[in-house]
Amino acid sequence: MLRKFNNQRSLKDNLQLGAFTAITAGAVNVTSLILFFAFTSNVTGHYAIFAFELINGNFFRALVVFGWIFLFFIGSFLSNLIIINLSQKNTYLAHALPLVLEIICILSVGFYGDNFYNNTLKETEILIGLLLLSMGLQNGLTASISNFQIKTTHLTGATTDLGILFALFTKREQFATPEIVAKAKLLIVIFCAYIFGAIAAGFLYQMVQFKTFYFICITLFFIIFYDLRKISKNRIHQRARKYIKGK
Amino acid sequence: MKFYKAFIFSILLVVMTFVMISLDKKEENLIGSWKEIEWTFEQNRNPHVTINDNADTLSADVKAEIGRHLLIHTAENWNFNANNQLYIRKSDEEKNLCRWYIKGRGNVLEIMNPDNNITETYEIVHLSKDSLVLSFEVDLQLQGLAKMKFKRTND
Repeated sequence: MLRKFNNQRSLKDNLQLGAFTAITAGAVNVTSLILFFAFTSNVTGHYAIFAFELINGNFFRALVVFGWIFLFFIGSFLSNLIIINLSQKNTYLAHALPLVLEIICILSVGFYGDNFYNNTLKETEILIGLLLLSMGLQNGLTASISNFQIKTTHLTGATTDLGILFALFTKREQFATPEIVAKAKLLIVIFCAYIFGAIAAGFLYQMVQFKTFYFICITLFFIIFYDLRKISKNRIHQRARKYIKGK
Repeated sequence: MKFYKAFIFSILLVVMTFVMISLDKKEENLIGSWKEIEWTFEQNRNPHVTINDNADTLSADVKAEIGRHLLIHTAENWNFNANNQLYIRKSDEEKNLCRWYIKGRGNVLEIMNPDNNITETYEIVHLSKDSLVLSFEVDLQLQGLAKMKFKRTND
């Protein structure tokens, strides 16, 4: 999922990364909506709210919303800063590090919420900010390494794309190329995974409240360790081959 | 070297944003005593039907119907304490103790009755030194948006 870059990626790689990150995004969004009354996996709505608060003269609220949008931007910026600078040295590390930062953000929210949260507005605003930062990190990573094919934190663009693709499928003989079919498959998987993550987190929240964030992190750990396992396997194979050749 | 500079710079920006967010004092504006002065009901089919305590019995009935399932239905005086305690009472009647929290970007008031674990949420439409306007969705047969207006008192 994380070892390959842009055009080297297969449909399977994209489907796996898309599905797991969409589960995370859906889960984070719903949990934050239940807990904090704010969406955290996308910023389109926040832009509208920013304008709305400005018009109504609520400048501090507008500033808070701007801060959230900015954190999402910083997340994407950090993610790509890491990818651009570390990819040539170690592709896996460059792609895994943004996920590690994302886990730190989400774990912090879960741990703080579970142990110290007093329901104050300041805490709420900061925790929302952390979740937006984490989603910025995730979206920046997935979009960048998949050549902008995977964006899992918001589904506006994906819904538009799927509409276009379905329109193309009406002229099946002309447009139903393997690439377009693959793109449609990817989008459908992302939708399903996002909804699954959202529903699962909604149920999970009723049982474990803030600990839901720990479960979300398990999905991210899986993405990191899935490739790590493959890398380790490959290294063991390479060493074994060298050893056999040496004999 | 540029990478580390940019990394540290972006981390500083994140920290600055969190500090900026933490300067907000919305909760302090709400603390104090508030007296309910008016209910406004915006119905989908019949907009702007004004309901208040001094109005005719029908309006009072409508108000009672809207608030029948709500914590605040008997409340006229709301007292928000700094320790998130909320006393809601009607005239001379016994006080009802709840917990209050502000959520979202400071636009959601959450009120919780610890006795029966009922939680209600209200949108803070307006909050200034002297006035407070809350709104909530009504999903009974009335279907619409109810607004409650308050003025600050010195109780």
